[in-house]
Amino acid sequence: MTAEDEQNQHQDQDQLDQRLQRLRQLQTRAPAHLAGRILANLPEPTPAEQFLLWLTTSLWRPALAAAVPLMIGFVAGVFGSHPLNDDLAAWYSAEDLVYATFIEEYEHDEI
Amino acid sequence: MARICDGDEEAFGLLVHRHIDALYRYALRLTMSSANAEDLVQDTWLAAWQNAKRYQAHKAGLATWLHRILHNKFIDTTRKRQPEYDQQAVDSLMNEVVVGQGEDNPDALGRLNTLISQLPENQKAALSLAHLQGFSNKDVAHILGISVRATESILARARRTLRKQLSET
Repeated sequence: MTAEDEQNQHQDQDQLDQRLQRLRQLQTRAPAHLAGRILANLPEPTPAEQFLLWLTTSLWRPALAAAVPLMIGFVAGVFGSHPLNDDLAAWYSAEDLVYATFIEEYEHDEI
Repeated sequence: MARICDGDEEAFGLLVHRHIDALYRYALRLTMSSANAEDLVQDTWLAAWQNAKRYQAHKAGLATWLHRILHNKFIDTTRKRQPEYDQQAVDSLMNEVVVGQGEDNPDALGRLNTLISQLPENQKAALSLAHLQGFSNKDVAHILGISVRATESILARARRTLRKQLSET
């Protein structure tokens, strides 16, 4: 390659760079309706997705969600009504009845 | 971006307005069809909305991430359908030249626009991103999913082709 060729190549290169630079400055804009169309067509999240989104946003939320069944079980265990819990005497009498029945059956078998 | 992850449409709207022109320009260069470019940009924003949580700021800038989504969407759609050539899109790109104020040689720029549109797909994408969208070679490589060296090689080839064709005219 001669010095003249090299110089021409440099000139071509500079010219291309200048034109590309100029092209970069001339900006085509998106059609005005496009942004509105995009925003109007965003899908609404389903209830399940909304819950998942809510759940995964902060660390305390999954912890709370995991603790809820535990709390429900605890509350049900403490305050839940059991027929025999209401009257302690009834509980003991029922226990005696079972014991007496058992003893009676046992004695009959023995005989 | 955190607000968008929480489903904040207002924050998403701001992001759309900030980046839509650049994305549309790139889509127009790739598809050479204004209708397809609009669809491509819309698909890109939809994917960005649905995958906002996957965005990792330490890996790439937001503009890079959005252009990467657009490029991948373009590859997916062109695999499915034949590319359409639309005179309106070419005119739209040519308008850049006409609208340019104080342009000393609009014909030369128009010619360059045409030559860019005729480049092979990967060269056109790399050149548009690096020289017309203003991305660094590293970002271009990330968007195209190739190495930086491959990007440099593609860019060099594209420039060589353009230089040769421009000097012939």
